[in-house]
Amino acid sequence: MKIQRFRIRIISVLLFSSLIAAFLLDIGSAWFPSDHPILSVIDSLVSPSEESVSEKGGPTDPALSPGSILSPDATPSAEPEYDVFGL
Amino acid sequence: MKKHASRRFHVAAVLILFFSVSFLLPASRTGDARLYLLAAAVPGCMLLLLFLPSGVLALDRPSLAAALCLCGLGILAPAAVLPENALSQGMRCLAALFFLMAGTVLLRLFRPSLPVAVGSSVCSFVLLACPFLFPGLDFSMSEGGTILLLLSVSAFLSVRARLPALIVSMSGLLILLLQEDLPSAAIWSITCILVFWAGSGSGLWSGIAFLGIGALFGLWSVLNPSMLAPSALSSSFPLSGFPVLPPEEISEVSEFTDSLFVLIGKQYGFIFLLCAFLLLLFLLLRGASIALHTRKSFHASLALGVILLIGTRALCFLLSLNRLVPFPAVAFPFLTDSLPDLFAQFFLLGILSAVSAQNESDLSEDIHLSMITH
Repeated sequence: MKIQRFRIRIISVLLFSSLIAAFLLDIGSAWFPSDHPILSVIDSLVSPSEESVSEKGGPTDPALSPGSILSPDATPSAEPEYDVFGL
Repeated sequence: MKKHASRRFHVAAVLILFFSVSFLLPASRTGDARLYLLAAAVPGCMLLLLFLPSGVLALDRPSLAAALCLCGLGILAPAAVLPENALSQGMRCLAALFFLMAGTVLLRLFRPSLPVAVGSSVCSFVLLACPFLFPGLDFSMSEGGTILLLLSVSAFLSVRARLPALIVSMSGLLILLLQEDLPSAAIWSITCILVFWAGSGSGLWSGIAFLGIGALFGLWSVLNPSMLAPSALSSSFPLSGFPVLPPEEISEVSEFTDSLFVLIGKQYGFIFLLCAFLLLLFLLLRGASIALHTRKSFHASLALGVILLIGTRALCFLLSLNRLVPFPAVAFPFLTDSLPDLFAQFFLLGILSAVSAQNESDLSEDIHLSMITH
């Protein structure tokens, strides 16, 4: 019974933390739509410099393909896909 | 004791006042008689259930209050623009309350033994196989079937019959996969593995359960690759079809096809969504506390299974909003317009209430014994 209680405690903590993480993820996706300025800052940090791209012979990573949020010439969509939280 | 009663009175008063005002505001604006009816009926039902004498049904009041608030929010969501939908949701919740009592009574009568476990597993198979037995049926009994599966697996584990528990849980999962009910299969798999891990007391058996469930899912995905194809998934997402409407345009919509949780966000904003989420967390926290305070392994496994069935469903819903799960979206617990789902969730709440009542009776027995010995 002692082991069972310990395991129930671990499972409860895991369940609560995953629920809170999923909720925060939903808030994050609603709060930061694809045209949010903070994403362009992250974009500039994550995207490789022009030299490194030319050295490797151009962007081969699917994330850097045109239309991707990480792509330098990405055109942000007008609206987020979901606006569940009314943000 | 007086302090406890006073706190309960304050919480109930705040809830009743909030829901009365929430329904009266749109009612006074539109003059709709159905909203006036809801303004009286919703707080009235809450008052009745929260102040029902504890000897009548021994309901667990904190978890019941959280579930009733979630249901109240589900009725409130379409109230301002579609009063007929709000009224029908209220009727569904009222009908589901009978299953709360049924769950409480059933668990009081349920004694974990091999014949009872076998009987409940047979009943669960019949419920799960309903789409095959009655092809004309247009609603799913999967959630009810998984509750009976949980009852039988917990009973088997409490009498140390691990192999039958494993066979029953695998067979249940196989039926769910055969009827292509992926959300229920995923929810049952997670619940089953974790209940096995907590209840069997053996890492070996939980490892076998994990491997068996993984093998079943793997075999199923190899045999049905089209079900997990991106095109099949995107067409089965009910949430993706909902247009992003600004609040002033919502009143022009004739019928909502979206989840009630999403509707609350669209109608009343983020604060109400946060309240709904916190209410669910509170309910799960109460369930975990009940599971931790039980004396019997059967009750502990059962209470853990209840919070896992509700919590995993909520998790699947939250992840499906961002399309992070490879199956169609499920409804948020207690915020669903599906009658079988509401029945099943109130039945789970009834089971939790019965376990809590058992804990309290054990505690009072202890107090009585200690008074005799001293």
